[in-house]
Amino acid sequence: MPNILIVDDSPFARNSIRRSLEATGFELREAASGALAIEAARSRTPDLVTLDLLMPGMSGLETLLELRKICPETKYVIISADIQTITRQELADGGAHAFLNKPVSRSDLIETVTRQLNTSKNE
Amino acid sequence: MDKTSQLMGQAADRAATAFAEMLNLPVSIKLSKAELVDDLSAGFNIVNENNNWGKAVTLNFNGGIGGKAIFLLPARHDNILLSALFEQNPDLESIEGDSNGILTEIGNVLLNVCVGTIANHIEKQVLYQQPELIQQPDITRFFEYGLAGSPNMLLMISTLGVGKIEVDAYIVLVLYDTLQIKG
Repeated sequence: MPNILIVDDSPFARNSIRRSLEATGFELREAASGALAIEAARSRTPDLVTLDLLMPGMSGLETLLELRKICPETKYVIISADIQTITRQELADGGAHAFLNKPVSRSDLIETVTRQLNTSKNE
Repeated sequence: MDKTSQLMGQAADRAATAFAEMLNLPVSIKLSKAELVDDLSAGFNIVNENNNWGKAVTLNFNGGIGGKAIFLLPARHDNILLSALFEQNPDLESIEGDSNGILTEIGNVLLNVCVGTIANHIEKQVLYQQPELIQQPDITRFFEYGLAGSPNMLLMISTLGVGKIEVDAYIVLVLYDTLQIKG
């Protein structure tokens, strides 16, 4: 069963993503900061990480770059309220596989996560 | 319709569609005013006509354009909005204790859409700081100290409809750089 790490400083956002993904049966873990996400990824490599951009301490981009060093095979889906085209390009250059804007609909989230996990299997 | 109103109208539509999908409820954002104001005291007076504020979310940003954004709900309207969300969307009931978190997320998304729409239009990148939920007297302080040194502000007054209810919502972007929105 794929394991997914949800990284967001907002308990509301984590809860919302968790509720959307619960029906998939994937194993879900949560981290409230970039530092905690790195700790969680070191203890067990996630198959996919959903990552917020704007967090206290390490930013989402800093967290992404650090996680990519530890878990290069993991898929990274950015979930952020930031709609800027330049930021999206910066994240793609940093190794993000997909980008979803908050608030994200349940169907878009499940579809994106499933597609990314299937891409991993086929690689 | 001028370019500012047109851009902000697009931002409002985008935000409404996104919230409707997230909340699984009909959501509308009707703009009654969207204008770039050079005379800050006049802009402040428009906002201050309703000084009985409930809660607000602020978002500071810098980079290609710098400034402060604020999403304001008049007193009681914050509670009407939250009650409507909890009543109409059973999924939210389980996290009712985190009502401040929900308001912060709503404000953060709306402000990101407004600032991001402008940044995309002028092809510059902004960097955001953490959004913050504030109440009085910090809302008054935001305007007392936040307007200093700012050449202009973007003011939006809207009616936010969620399911069966409507509340007033104000969005103000205090900009530290002169903004020229070209059509």
